[in-house]
Amino acid sequence: MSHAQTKLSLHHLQWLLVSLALILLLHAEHLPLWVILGSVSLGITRFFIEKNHWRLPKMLLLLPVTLLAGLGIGLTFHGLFGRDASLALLVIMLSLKLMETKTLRDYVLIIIAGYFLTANVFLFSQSILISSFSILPLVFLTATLIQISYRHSPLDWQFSLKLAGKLLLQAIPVMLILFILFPRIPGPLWGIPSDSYSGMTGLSDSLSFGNLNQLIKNGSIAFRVEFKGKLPQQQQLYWRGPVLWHQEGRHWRMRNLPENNSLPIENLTTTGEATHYIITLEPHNRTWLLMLDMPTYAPQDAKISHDYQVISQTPVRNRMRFEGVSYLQYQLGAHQTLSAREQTMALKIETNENPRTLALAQLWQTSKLSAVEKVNAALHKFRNEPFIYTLSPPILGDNPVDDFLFNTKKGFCEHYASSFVYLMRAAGVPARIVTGYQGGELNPNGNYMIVRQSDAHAWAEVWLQNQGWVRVDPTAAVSPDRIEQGISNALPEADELPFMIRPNNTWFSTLYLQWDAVNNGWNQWVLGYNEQKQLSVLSQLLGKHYRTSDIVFWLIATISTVMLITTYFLLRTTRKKQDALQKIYDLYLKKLKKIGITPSTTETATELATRVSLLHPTQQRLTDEIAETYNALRFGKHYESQYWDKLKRLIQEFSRK
Amino acid sequence: MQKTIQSIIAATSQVILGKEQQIKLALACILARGHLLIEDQPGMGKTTLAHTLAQVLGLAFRRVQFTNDLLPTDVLGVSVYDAHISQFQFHAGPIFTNVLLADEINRATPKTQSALLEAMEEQQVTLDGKTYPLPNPFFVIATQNPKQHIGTFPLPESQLDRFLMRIEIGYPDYQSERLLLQTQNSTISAKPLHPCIDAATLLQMQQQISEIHVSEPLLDYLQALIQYSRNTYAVGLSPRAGLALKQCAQAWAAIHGRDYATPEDIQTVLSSVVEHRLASPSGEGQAQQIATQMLQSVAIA
Amino acid sequence: MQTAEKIKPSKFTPFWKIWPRVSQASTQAATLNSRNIYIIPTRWGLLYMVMLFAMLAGSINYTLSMGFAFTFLLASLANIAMLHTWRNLLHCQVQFLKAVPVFVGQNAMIELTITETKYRTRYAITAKFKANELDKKSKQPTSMHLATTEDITAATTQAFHSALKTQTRGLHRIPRLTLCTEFPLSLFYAWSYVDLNHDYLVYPTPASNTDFQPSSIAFSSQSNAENTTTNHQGDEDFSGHRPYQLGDTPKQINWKASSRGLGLLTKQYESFSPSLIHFSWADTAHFNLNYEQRISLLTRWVIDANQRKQRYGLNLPRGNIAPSNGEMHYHTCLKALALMETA
Repeated sequence: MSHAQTKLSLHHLQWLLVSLALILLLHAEHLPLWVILGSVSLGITRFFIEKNHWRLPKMLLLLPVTLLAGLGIGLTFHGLFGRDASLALLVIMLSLKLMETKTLRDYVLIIIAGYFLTANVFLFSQSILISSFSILPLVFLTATLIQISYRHSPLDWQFSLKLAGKLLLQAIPVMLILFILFPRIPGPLWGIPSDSYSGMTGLSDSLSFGNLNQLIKNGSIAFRVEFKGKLPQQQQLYWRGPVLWHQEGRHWRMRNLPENNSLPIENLTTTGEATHYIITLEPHNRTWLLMLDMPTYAPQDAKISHDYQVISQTPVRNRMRFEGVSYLQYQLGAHQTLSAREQTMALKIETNENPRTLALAQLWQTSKLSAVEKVNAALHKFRNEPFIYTLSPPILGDNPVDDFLFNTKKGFCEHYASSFVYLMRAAGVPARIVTGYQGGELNPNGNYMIVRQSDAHAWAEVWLQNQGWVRVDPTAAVSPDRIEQGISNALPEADELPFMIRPNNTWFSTLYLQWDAVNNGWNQWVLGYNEQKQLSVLSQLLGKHYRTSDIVFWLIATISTVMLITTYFLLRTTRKKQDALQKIYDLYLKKLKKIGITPSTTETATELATRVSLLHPTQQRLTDEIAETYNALRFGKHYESQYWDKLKRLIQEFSRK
Repeated sequence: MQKTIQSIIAATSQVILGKEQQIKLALACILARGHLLIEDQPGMGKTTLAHTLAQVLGLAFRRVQFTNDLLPTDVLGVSVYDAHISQFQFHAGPIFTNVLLADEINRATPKTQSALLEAMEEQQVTLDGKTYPLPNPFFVIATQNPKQHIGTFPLPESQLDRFLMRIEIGYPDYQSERLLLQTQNSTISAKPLHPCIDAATLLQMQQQISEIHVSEPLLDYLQALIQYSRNTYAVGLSPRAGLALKQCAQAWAAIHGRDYATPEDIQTVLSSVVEHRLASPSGEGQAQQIATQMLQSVAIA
Repeated sequence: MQTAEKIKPSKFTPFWKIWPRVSQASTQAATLNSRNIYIIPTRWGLLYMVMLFAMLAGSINYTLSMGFAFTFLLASLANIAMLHTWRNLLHCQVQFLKAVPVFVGQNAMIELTITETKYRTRYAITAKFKANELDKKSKQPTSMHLATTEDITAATTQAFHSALKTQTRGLHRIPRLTLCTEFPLSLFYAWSYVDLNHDYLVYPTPASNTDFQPSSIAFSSQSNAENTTTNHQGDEDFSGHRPYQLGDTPKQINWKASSRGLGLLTKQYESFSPSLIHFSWADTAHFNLNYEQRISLLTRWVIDANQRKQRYGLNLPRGNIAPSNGEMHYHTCLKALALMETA
């Protein structure tokens, strides 16, 4: 059947090399430099071997090189089985395979592996840009396959590229049907390499001096929100994330002890209207979902914990879309007292450090200040002493809180929040740190809000008698702009902020916002098309109560229909481009067919006219004239428009009779 | 030109009765600057046709009856030693004329045939290292008996190709035959013919005919025919044959007063132009079918 | 005389010969319609499918929407390629042209045309004779895969010359022709069978031994045209070289010249040879030869006589061929020899 041993020429090799080079380019970002250089030089070597008719290297040489390459990958990635390592391994092995590629069999193997390698890019990114770029190697690989299928002589490069493009375009309808209807089985089927989610960024379950500002410098998107009703004000946009209770030196951590689950849920009383919104959360490989203070509703497969974090059952590893309901005016735990355990947890600090802070708290204690007065005293300190909001704070010493409160006085939200809570706890006021995001940027193009990693924030909640847990944002005391206008306006110019979120960059940010709107659509409709979305789309298409057999039926029915239509168009006789004369003459032929005279392709116009006049002797003059005029126009030269008009007139006359 | 051509045809038709198609073909062949081969049974008027045409066209005419003892020098001429001037003197043979009627060409030996055919192709005679050009216009009208006849040397295919056309005359129809029997005495020609044109006019007409327009679609058709013959028959049409078809179609168009050639022109001349080139030497019966088969198989445009 | 048998569905014909629908081309062209075209994935197609499953599994595992999209696009691409491969063969018209007779051992060239009528060029169409008859002893196919691949430009007729290996003399039925294509992606193989319903002629092998010469040499008294003193090719005086033609005796080949890389040249000799010879089946009886060798010897004599441009006749048990010369006569004689009854 296939002549697997057929040797192919330089021409075919060039196509293969170009296709592979495109794949390499697609993956360049995720490959170590030595793998790229190695593959490129292998490709160039192979080219010159073919061009100069050198001999291919022997197995004896290739085997050690292959082993060496494998070892190199192992050393670079500390293993062979991670996502990055297996990609690099596949690339280098494919390049080495080139060195023994000469028959048809080898070529097809490489092309099929090339398709697979191209698809691998989606493990790293599924953005519009990467997806569009992946079409390029796809077209070239297909064109190479076409070239290889046409072995008896070299094929024109334009032709093969055009045909490849045509085939791929024709493939799109069935692809769309499969994409929409093919049942999405929820993954994973097997274990996922541990490094697969290494690239995801987001809040951490702990807070220490200096780790949040790395996040703030990250311009990537944390989540997008569509509000259903009125937009809340900027200073109300506190997106609640992990709540940190435990202090260990300069670290604050979440309480993830099992007994915490048994804590009673804090009592929430709400006033005012509920705010409805939909969040599209970027994967961050953690379990918490971000909600506006205070959530009253948890999405499926998630629950609200006692301190009003919304926790999903599984880490968020794919873009996730969920609905949220929150009340912006609320009282949390107002009509209850703190249990002994909560009391202990909310007051626990390490007391062997930060003596000056402890002394200050002691002073407040002895002055018999009420809890509210203590809070105000602290905020007063922040407001009136020269505290500065900056993303590049000086390094803090052994007693970090002391150092910050009394010496450096430079920091950002995490410094303010943690030192405030420390101070409160030392003064006997139950307090905790809440991390999350604050603010967001409205995208007018898509009528939704973008919340970035740079909007990450930390604030405090203190427990006051009769008021419950009250949100106190010490950062607002220092830099009200941060809360009211967002981080980009709160910082001194010198601070390094991601380019995207800097102010005074209007035309660019407009463009950016438009691009983000496209991205948002892409995320929701293409990348976010998962089993839930499929369920909702299908129930809209097929009605609420459809069965699996219905999907199978519709899959088969639609694909068959599309295939039939495609076949019709493929088989439709595409006649030679008809010239104007033939079009006119065809009218005559059509008329003849109607009266039962079938013109033959081997018949001249005159012969046809003779045949017609035999059957219809009265028309002889007309048919002869038609034939004569047609011949003059077709075979003569310099025949002017009067002949055209004459032919048209004659044929019209004939048709009437 | 149309008028001249009509008068030539009319004049010839007076002598050859009821054979207008053959006269037109013969004339087309001459106008397309080709040599003509007339093949038929004895007594069908082959010689008369050739003779009449030469007269009507006002050309110098010589006739050579080919026999199996005819030598090349009998046709081409010979160098004879002249004692008076102590030199070889060339005595031109009958070939030095405008129209040479080579009667019963297949009776001569291949050697003589070749000598004639080489002169036909090159329009010159080379003898004893000297080249003598033939007059212009020059063409040969050869007649030949059908091959089965005893004592003939059939022309080889390569030499048949040098004839632009081969026509057959065929029996006259009933009315023409009656007219022939009534009016003409077989031995005496009825009346002397007046030439309609002269050699110079003929050359001019030949020039005009080569300017008849052949359109792209027609060339497509012509090439399709050639290609078909190459795919179908043992030996396909040569490039020379293709050129011959084109020239004949042009001449045919001119005879019908058109300044462009049409597929009909090709179709009409096709049988005369291609059959002697394609038919295998033995298969006499299929010669007629070749043109028909080609026309029925090849689509126009 | 060996007769060529039609492949007819009979109880002796194995089912795989009857089963496929075969287009019949005899005087009419056979059109490959959709019922006559078969299509299966090639081994590359299967490999491609395995790759698709791997990609699908990967997409499910990592929940990659674009992975799904890519996999489905490639799956759909294969599907489209299948349609294109099938379409590439559909509605081609196959017509038998001629089979040029050859000597045993040479490849018979079966000439046929494929006509495109649907105004689209067909790419890389292969015509081949599949081994459908096995030699009983060697179990080797009598016809090898000698395929020709051509494009058929839109609305034109393309000639194909398909080679067929020959092993025995006589008239043989042309085996079933396979037309196939893998264009455009080599993922699918579409093919169709055509019975050309014509025979091809294989001439006997010419004997290589030139020691045996015909005995009954007759001078022609009727020949008045040919001068008996004309030089003919013979074996007395060396007159020059000409390129080797099949049938030339090895003795006359200038081996020295061929060793110098000049190719095979046959030495030509002139002699005054008689102008008319009768080769007779009875003549060959003098030599101690078996039946087929006698046929071969006659074949050699006919070839040699034709090369010398002699007039010759052939007397065979089944009838005589009157003396003549020329290509037609030559082939008539060889045909008669090819069709001699088997011993």
